[in-house]
Amino acid sequence: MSTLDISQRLHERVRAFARGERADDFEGLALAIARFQAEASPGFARLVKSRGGRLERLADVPGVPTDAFRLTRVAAHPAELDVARFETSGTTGSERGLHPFRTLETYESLALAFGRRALVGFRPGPRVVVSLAPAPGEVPTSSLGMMMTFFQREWDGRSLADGSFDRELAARWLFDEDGLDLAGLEHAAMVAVRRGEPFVVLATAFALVGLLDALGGRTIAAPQETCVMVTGGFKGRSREVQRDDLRRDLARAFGIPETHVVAEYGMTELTSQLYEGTLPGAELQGDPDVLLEPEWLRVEAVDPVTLEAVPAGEIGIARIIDLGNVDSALIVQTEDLVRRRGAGIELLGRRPGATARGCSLAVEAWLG
Amino acid sequence: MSAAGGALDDDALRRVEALVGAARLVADPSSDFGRRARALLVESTGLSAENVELALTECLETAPSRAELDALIASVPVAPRAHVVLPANVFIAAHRALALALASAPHVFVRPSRREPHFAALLAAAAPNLFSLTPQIQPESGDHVWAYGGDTSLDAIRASLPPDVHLHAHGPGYGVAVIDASQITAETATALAADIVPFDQRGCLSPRAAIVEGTLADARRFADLVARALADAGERIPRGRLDAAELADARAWQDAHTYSGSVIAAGPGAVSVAENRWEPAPIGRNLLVMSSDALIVALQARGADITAIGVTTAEHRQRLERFFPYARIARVGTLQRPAFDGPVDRRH
Repeated sequence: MSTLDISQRLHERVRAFARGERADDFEGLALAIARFQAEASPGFARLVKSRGGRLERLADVPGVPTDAFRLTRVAAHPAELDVARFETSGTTGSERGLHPFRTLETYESLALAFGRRALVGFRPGPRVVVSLAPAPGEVPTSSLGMMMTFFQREWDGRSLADGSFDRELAARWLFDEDGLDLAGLEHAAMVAVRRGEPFVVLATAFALVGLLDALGGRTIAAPQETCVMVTGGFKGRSREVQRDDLRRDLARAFGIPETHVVAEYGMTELTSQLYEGTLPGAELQGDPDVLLEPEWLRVEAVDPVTLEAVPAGEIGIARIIDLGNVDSALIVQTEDLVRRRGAGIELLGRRPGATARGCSLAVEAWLG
Repeated sequence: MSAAGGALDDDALRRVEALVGAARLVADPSSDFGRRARALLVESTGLSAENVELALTECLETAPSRAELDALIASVPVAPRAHVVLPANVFIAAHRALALALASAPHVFVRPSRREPHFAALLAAAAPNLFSLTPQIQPESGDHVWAYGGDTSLDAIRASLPPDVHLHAHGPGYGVAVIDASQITAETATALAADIVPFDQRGCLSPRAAIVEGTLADARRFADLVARALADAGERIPRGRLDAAELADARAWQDAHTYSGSVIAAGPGAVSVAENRWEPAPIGRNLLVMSSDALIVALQARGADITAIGVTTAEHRQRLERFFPYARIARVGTLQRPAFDGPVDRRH
């Protein structure tokens, strides 16, 4: 079988696994993907070799650091087969990374499957879906924009004026470099009210802070059945807001309970996402601040130095095993601090690094 | 405002010379201070005994010239009282920090690092009544404070000071080496390793990247030589203990660079090669080597963080002095011995 054939077959097995067809178990499928990547990706093969060269258990599989996506191409296929290249948002002073995709079929299938379980609540039926994000454009470079497009098309699929769906429709993409289209958001909310349908707002935390600033304490006339999906952090933006404060202020702005504000955790380097399970009527149910994994993704909290799993309930950095990453990196080693809690994980910010430190390392505990 | 001439300068000079005398005692392995320093500093710094010895005998400024001392005194304002919040990661930095404060004021109060309190305490014991150690500085209006720390710590200090207290804040920085393609030799690599090894690369004079003005092949050739030189240096002067954050940074960096295919083992650390993009390698005797045909542009990309530049040719020195007048520019192999003429970090 050619590399392409093996990849294609693995994609099919992952999608079947996600549909609940349990011909594979998680570990077996993960190891099959890891072995495929070790064959097809010289970079991953080098990383495996540096850890002893064995791929017999899932614990043998090294995570690919997120930085690798900035340094080099992380893919098991040649660039000419790319159908999409999603860019990481980057942090101040750093270059952007790329996550190339050979097919978006698995990405779409997994994003819709778990997004539906987290964000489609209240009751069945269509809903009005808008995004506080820029339109993805003809050649999408944002995985988040791509995911939002899927949600808009699948859960709404109409224009706001009852015409046909157009993914580039400006009325659905309400935040770009020119700022927030508050009037557009209010119009969309009004359409949902008029249609008697739930309203879904997909947004970055940064855009939502912009919304709160623009509202200046005013509220939006939105349906009671409004869900606000919040994703991402602030990454050096002008104003940071605590997660709890943002949730409270958004609930007040939309006139909805705080449980309708649902956090999403995703990364460009991943194919799959995690969500809170707080939305009433949604299939996914869990405590606030607990991010729940889909069956095809696991997060392990590991020691930042040894990369060994830490005891349950202790804080470690997230080692994310995403079966959706068939053609890139099965395991992504992040620097995000997490702790297992109940059925999911708590996200606790970034590991404080030593790299930025120079000759002025420590005025330790100056205030304490 | 610099120190005025005459009696004031003489007093300042006497104070600084007394401190240098204390440093000589601590550096002397045959003195009681020297023996205690070697025992205590290995424990508190985590450096190997060989690296502590290197710092005390090769890096600590024990014989500055009169011209250097005059320049150091002229570099600071006159103050009624000076306060120093010391760094932890380069223990001998306390010496220069104290010299600057003593050049500035007759009354000096020093808050040592909690992790490495011994070097300042040894200097205080070797020069009784020259300055006071304190667990917490309490500056008053008109006083000057020299503080060394990360941006967050410095912000906290700034916010905590009374009005009219002058803060001299020295934030994080690192060194970079600039290698002319004609100077890619084992000798240059050995010299660069000698700049990297002291303090296990924690200092703002420690190179964490080398930019080769040449091709990618030139960079690879130099990276191989530096990796060998660092491995050899590691045999003579073992790397000490890294803290958890440093180890985690090194692990993440080495994994990412292993994936990208550019990492070379270099004794206790590693060297990696990049083309036209760079960022500092993590602490712990690691180095990123980059090729560039646009040297100034490459350096300017991270110019605000660069405190020292090692060079291999006079032409590079002249060119870089124009663009980076604040940086300590010196021949590769001598970066850890800057003139004792003012702050090491001259970015402010």
